[in-house]
Amino acid sequence: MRASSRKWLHKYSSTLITGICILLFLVYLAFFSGADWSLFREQFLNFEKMEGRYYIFISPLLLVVKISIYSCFFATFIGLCLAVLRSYKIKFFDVTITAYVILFRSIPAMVLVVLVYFALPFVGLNLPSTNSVIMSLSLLFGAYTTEIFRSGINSVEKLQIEASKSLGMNSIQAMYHVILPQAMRVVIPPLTTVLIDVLKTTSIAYVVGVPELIARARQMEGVIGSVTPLIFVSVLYFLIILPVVILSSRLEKRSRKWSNS
Amino acid sequence: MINNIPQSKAILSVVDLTKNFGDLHVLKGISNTFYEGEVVSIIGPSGSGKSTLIRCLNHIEEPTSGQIIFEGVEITNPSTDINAVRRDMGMVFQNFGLFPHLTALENIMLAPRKVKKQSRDEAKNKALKLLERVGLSDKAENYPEQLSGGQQQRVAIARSLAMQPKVLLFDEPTSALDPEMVREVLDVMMGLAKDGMTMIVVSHEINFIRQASSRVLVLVDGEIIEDGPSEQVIESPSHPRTKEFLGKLL
Repeated sequence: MRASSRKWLHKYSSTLITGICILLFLVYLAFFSGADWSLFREQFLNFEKMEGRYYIFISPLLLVVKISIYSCFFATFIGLCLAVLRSYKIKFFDVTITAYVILFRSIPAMVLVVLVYFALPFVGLNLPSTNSVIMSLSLLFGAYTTEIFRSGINSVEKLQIEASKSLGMNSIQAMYHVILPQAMRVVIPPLTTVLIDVLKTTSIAYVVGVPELIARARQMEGVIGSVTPLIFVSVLYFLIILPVVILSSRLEKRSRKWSNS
Repeated sequence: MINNIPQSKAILSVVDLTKNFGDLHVLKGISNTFYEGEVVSIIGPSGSGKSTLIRCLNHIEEPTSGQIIFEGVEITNPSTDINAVRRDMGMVFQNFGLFPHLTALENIMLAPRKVKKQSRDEAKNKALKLLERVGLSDKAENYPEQLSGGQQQRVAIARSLAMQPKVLLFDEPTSALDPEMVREVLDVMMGLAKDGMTMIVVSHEINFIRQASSRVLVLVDGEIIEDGPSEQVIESPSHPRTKEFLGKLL
């Protein structure tokens, strides 16, 4: 019992020290810095005023989750397909995909959402506002995931392809059974970062009138005269992102089970 | 000496093969015929084009010109389905090239299952037999990183054998190994030679050449300068460059 608790202490000592430092800093802020905390509480943590209004966030929360899931799926799908296409080193794909990546990495998200929603109808494509946001986010973040998957594929050594070929595999079999499983190990951490970014960027949906979380929070902010709704919405975002982070670290562990490094 | 007299049936022919890397002429017109059941060693100083030659044989390296004919199929012809040809030509690499995300057993099973469409049980049974043959039955569930170099190379040989190739190509199979592991790999190779496997081996392992190889090709500066029975080439080489090279090797 004592031995195990000592082991625990040893394992988490750095976390513990960091925690104690943060705690001490908060105690200093609260009691010794001389700040007016009652005003702070009223501005940022005024949950009394929010009572009875929480239901307002239910439908935007579901909407954000829906947009996020679709956008993450399509962004990953686009990135995977384009990176695989590029790996065949065919001039046409090389040029067009590079152009796509450069272009969409430099467009501000808000501009693209506005363009897709308001400009596409001119070429006969009328998308509902939610779908136009999904399309915009997928295209934007597809450019990032393309680069992530590309670097993952490039990280697999050439010998792996030669070994696959020498066993009679065609290039699709080699890609699916040999290259991609190894690329995943490199891909998962940066991919997670991008997918979390997708979740948070859903907030620009308000520019085309999609009633998402941030927009609702800002409306409520005006009504109750406190920033508390934004704080509350941040907590919601955290709760959405948490499972993504957990899932990704699980996947990462699984993709590393064959390697000591 | 095993397979001293080559059987008459030609399995692989090379006609006037050249390979350039830019301005560098690595192979300058190689012609040779390999017969069924033969064990041919290719030796020569580094940079002479040995690896390039053996990599051209299964078209992992694309030759600049010339023909390669395997069992009557011209594999240098662009309309040939090269993947189908490679099923019958195994290759063992200097750095093993095992798939690190798969266990030893899965490494061996992958191609038979996906390329030959064998059932899981069938592929597994065959793979276990092959692991036994290379002496690694107890390592079936280990990942390549958990194996020594010699063990990895033996798994790689088993993986090639799983496709039941008609010819096995070895590209310096023992060069990346620590000295104490060379023996175990050579033992497996000699066992294969004894079983009548057609093998083309780039290697300087003089023991292997003496004991298992029926014929030796000496490659210098992209040309075959000597081609003859192992004993003759090793003991009484005719070309001065061969003498010079063997002098350094022995």
